[in-house]
Amino acid sequence: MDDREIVRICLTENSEAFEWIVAKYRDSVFWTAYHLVLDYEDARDVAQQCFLKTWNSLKSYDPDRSFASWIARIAANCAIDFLRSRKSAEPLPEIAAPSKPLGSVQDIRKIFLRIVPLLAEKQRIVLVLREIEGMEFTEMAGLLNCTESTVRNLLSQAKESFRKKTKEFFPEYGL
Amino acid sequence: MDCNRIPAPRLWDDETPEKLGQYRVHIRFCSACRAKVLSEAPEKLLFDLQDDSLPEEFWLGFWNSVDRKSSSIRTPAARASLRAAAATRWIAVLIIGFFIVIYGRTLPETDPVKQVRTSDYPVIESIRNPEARYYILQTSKDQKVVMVFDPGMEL
Repeated sequence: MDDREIVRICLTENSEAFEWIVAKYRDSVFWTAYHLVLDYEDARDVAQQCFLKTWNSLKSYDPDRSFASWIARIAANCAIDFLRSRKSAEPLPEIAAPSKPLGSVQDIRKIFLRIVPLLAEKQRIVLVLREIEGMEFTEMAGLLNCTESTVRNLLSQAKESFRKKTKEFFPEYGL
Repeated sequence: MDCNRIPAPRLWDDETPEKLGQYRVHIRFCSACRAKVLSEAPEKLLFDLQDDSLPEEFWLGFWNSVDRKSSSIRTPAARASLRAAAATRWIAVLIIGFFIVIYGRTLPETDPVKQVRTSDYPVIESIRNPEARYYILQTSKDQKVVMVFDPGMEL
């Protein structure tokens, strides 16, 4: 059964069908949240918030659009709201550098966790939304309440910083 | 080892999603290109982080929590009926309140005990069954309890 059909059932016949949506998207929503908030517990809370928001705005879902991108956008929005409310929180955790040769998905995750907390918050957000979520510039501009060119600038700075710090912390990368 | 099947990762930003998808598939299997991307633009490998799935234990209680928090706002139809029920309750309260205010003061004061007269006690009808018996117990000055035992009575 496709997402549009599930949404239709949720709205007209059986609201319990929403459980299918949660089961299908909980992992992707969690990871979107986690890559932005960088904490498992917080990401789980954000995921929960995301599904409540999704439920509340299900009526406004446009069936011509992809449900996956719609819910990813809600997840990113919830995570950004969470980050705004966590302004004065403790600094983000740092993860120890891996000792074995790099390149696997696990290694990419370690690099991500080591480098990304060192970026400025907005740079981190645009980097995650663009490179992991594959979000369009216009969508990101909407989420961050800024212009598309600001998003492009932030992304450019984020990439530069990410590359520089990766070389610094993981010199074994250099060709 | 060298492979030049994909362009330099710094040039990927302006590619279509389809092309980008092809490059990503390629670097998943080509270690030479993966190493090149890793050294030139490591952020281009971050897409790999999206695919992990979490163990089922991680999600224990998650749906219940979402369900509990959203149950009060279930379906639009349920929301409408909840609103209608609440409105009906309020209307009933207002109508009852209105009658109490208007007629409450004019109702005659009654004392149910004083209103009952001894002549109001039920009259014992003649019992046709010769085997039937009745007993009258005088419990107080103004009160009697009558017990009838009729084996032919169908209950």
